[in-house]
Amino acid sequence: MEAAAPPASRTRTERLGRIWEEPPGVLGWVTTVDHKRIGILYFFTAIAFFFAGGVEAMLIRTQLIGPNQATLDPATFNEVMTMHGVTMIFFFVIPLSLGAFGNYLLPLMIGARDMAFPRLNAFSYWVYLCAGAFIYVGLFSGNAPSAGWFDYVPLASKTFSPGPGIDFYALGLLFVGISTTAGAINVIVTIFKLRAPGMSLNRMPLFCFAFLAVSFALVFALPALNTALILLELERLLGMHFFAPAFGGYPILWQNLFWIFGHPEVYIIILPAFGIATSIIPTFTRRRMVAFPLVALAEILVAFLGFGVWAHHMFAVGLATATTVYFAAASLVIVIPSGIQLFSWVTTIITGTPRFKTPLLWIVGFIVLFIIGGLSGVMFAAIPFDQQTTDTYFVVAHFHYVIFGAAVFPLLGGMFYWFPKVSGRMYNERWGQASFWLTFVATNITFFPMHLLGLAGMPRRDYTYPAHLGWSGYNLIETLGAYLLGLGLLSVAANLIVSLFRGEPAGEDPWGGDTLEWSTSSPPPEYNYAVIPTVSSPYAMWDREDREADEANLEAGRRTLEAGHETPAGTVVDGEWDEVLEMPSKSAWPPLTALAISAIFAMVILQLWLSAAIATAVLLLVLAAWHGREPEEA
Amino acid sequence: MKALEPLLARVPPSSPASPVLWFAVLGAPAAYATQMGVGYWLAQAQCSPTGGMWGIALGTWAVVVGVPAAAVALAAGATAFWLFRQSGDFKDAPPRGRTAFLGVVGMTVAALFGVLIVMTVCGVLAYDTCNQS
Amino acid sequence: MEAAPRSMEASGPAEVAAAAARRRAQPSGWWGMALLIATEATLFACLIATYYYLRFNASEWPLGGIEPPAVVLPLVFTGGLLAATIPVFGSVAAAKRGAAGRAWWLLTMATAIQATYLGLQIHLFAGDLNTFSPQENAYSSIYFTLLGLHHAHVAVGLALDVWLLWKLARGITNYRLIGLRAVALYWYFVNVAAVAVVLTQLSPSL
Repeated sequence: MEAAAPPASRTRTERLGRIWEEPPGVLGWVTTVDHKRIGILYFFTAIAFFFAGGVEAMLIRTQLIGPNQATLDPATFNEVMTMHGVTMIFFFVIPLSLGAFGNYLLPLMIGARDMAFPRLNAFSYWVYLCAGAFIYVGLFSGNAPSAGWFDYVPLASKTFSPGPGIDFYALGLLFVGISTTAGAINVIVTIFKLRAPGMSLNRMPLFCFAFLAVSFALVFALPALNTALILLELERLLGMHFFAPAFGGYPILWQNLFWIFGHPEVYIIILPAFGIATSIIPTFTRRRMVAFPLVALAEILVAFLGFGVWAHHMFAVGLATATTVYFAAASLVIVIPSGIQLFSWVTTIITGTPRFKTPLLWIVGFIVLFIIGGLSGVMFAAIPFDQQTTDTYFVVAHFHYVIFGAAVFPLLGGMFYWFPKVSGRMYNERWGQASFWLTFVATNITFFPMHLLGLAGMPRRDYTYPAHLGWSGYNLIETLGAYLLGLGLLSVAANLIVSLFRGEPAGEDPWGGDTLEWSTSSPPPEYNYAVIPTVSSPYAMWDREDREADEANLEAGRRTLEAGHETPAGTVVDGEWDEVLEMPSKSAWPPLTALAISAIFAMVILQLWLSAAIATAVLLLVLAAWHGREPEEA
Repeated sequence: MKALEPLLARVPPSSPASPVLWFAVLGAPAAYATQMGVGYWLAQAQCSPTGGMWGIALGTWAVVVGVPAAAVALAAGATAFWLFRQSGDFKDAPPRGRTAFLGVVGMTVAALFGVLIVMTVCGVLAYDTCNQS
Repeated sequence: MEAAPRSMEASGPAEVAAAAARRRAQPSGWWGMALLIATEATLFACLIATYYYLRFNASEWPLGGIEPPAVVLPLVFTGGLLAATIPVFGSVAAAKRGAAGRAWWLLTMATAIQATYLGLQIHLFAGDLNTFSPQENAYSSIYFTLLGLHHAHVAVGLALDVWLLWKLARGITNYRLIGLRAVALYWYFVNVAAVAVVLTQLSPSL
C-alpha cells in the first residue's frame, strides 16, 4: 500500500514511523514497551514452557506405559506430575493466551496504537520470565514441589513436606500472580478506554468480550489464591496455624480458598480460546456470527458463573448437603452459556460458506473436543456421580479434553491464523492440515481411554499400578498416543519455523479477515494505524465505506494523531472520543523492577528477612524512579 | 413505569450511565450473587459447631432470600424487555444500538439467573439438612 | 474529533483545571487504581471470610483462652483514620480547580493524620504481640495476619502520599492530578477496609 500511496499519505506514515520507531538490537527488546514486541517475547517464553511441560508429560506417560515401571521413582513422579500441571497452567496457557495473543492483538483489534499502560505491560512480561525462572530453579536444584498443582494441606504443610519445594510453589505462584494481575488490569483498561471512536460496546469484536471476561475473572480470582498461598507460607515459614486442627485450624479452608480461585481459573484458561474461535469462524465462513449479543453475553456469563461453582471440586470432602446444592445447581446452569456459544458457532459454520483451511480445522477440532469435555464435565455436577469418579482418571480425561482439546486447539489454530499477520509470510497449508489431523487423532487416542480407566477405578496421580487390574492395555494406548501427540505438535512447530524463513509473502489480508488488524501491513508498522479507524460494526474490515473513509482521512491528515506518541481515549460504554493520550516509549524501569521483585522473593525463600526488607526498600526506590519522568516529558 | 418518570427524566435510559439500563443488565446477577452469598454463609454457620447453636432454619431462609431474589430477576428482565422494545437493532450506533444490545443481554440473564435462583431454592428445601452429602 | 484535548500537555493550574472539567470519562490511571483496589478488596474479603470460617469451625472463640480484644482504642483510632478522608477529598477538589498549593497542604494534613494512626496502631499491635503470639493457635494467627495486612496497606498508602507530596511540590500537571485522584481512591478503599477489619477484629467483644 505504501508504494502506491499518494505523497501526503506517505509523508504521514513516514513521520509516524519515525515517532514510534523501536530502538535496534537486544537493548531495544529489553527496554521495549511496544505491545507487539512484548507479545512476541511472551510467545516464545510460553512456548519454551510448553516444551518443558511437554517433556514432563512424556515422562509421566513413559512411567505409566506398563504396570510396575521404574522409570521414575515415586517421589520424582510426584514432582514431575506437579511441575507438569503448574507449568502448563501458570507458565504456558495463561501467558500464551493473555500475554501473547492478548497483547499482540487487542490494541490492533480496537484500533489503538498500544495498550493502556505500556510500561506495565513490559513489567508483566519480565516478572513472568523471572517467576518462571524462580520456580525452575527450584526444580533444577532438586527442590520441585510434589503435592500436585492444587497442593492440598496437610500434605503441603511443613510436617509432611519439610523441604523447600512447596515454598518454591507458593512463592513462585505469588510471584507470577503479580504479572497476571497487572496484565489483566492492563487489558481491562485498554478495552474500556482505548477503543477507536465509534466502537461502542455493541460494536466491539467478540475477541474483546472474551478477553474482558478473562481479565475480570483474573482480577477477582487471583486474590483468593494469593490468600491461600500467603496463609500457607505464614504457616510454613513463620510457624503460624491456619490449617492444622490441633491448633484450631481447618484443612478444608485451603480447599475452599484454592477452588474459589481454581474454578474461575479453568474458565480463564478456556475463554481466550472462545475469543480466538469467534475470530476465526466469521473469517473462514464469510458470515457474521449468529446471535452476536448472546455470544458476547455468554463469554461474560461463563466468567461470572464460574465464581459460583467452586465447591464442585469438593463434593467428596464431606460438606453439608445444604451447602453443596448451591454448587450443583450453578454447575448445571453454567452449561447453558457454553451451549449458547456452541450452537452459535456450529450454526454460523453450517449457514456460512466454510473454507476448511488449517485455522478453521483447528476450530472444528476444538468444537468436537469441547463437546466431549463439556459432557464429561456436566456429569460431575451430579453429586452421586462425582463421588464415584472423583480422583480417578475420569477427571483427568475431562480436564485434558477441555484444557488441551478446548483451550490449546484454538491457540494452535490462532497461531496459523495470525502467522501471516505477525511474520508477513504464509505457512505451508498441506503440512498444516496434516499436522492438525495427526494432533487431533493423537489427542483422542491419548485422552479418550482415560474415561474408561477412570470408570474402571484407576486413581489419578498414582506413580504406577498393578498388572492384574486390566488397566495396562489402556495405559499403553495412552502412552503411544502421547508420543504421537508430541510428534503432531513438533510438526506444527516445524511448519511454522520453516515458513518463517521460506514462506510465501502473505500480504495484508490473505484470509479476508473480519477485524481491524487485517487492514495493516504484515507485520504491522510500529504505530499500528496511520489513521485512527472509523468503526461502525464488530466486523470492521467488512465495512467498505469505513475503510475508504480511512484512506481519505490519511490523505487529508484527519484522525492521524501525528503530534507525538499518541492514541485516542474514549468513554467506556459508547466509545466516544474523549481525549488524546501521550504514550510512553522505551524504558529500562520495567525489567529493573522485575529484578528487584526477584531479589525479594529470593531473600524470602532463603529466609533472609533483613535482606528481604532491604530489597523491598530498593523496590520502592525503583518504582519512584519509574514514575519520575512524566509522559509529556518523555 | 410512571412512578419512575422523574428518575428517567434526570438520567434518561439512552444515557450510558442510566441506572435503569444497568439495573436491567446487572439486577438478576446481583440478586443471584446475594442469594448465593447469604445462603452459603447461613449454611456454613448452621452446619458448624459454633453456629449450630443459633438454630438457623435454612429452608425458611432459602425462601426469605430466594423469593425476593427471583422477583428482582423478574423485574430486571421486564425492564430489559421494555428497553429493548424502545430501541432499535443492536447493530445501530449508540444510544439505540447499545440499548438494544444491553436489552437482549438483560432479558437473557434474567431468564438464566431466575432459573438458577429457583433451582437453588428447591435444592435447599429438598435437602434442608446438615448431613454430609 | 481532531479537537479532542491533549490533556497530558496541561502543565499549569488553569490548563489542568480545564482538562479535568472537559473530560467525560474517568482517566486510565483512575481505572487502573480502581481495578487494583478490586483485587485488594477481594484479598481482604477472603481473609475476613477465613476468620469467620475458622470461627464457625471452632467450639470457642477466641481459642486457647486468649482474652477478647479491647474495643475502645481500636475504634477511636479507626475514627481518626476515617477523619483523614476530609482533607484527602479536599485535596483532590482543590487540585481539580488548579489550586496546587492548597492541594499540597491538605494532602500534608491527611498524611500527618494517617501516619499518626499507623504509629498508634503499631503500638497496639506490639502490645498484642507481648500478650499472645501469632504462633499460638488459629485465632492468634488470623488475628495478627488480618491486622498486619491492613497496617501494611496503610504503610503503602503513606509511601504513596510521600511520593505525591514530592511531586506536587513542583507544581501541578495533568499526570500529577490523575496520580492524586488515584491515591485518594486508594485511601477511600483503605478506610472501608479499616472499618471491615476492625469490626471483624473486635467481633468477639461486641
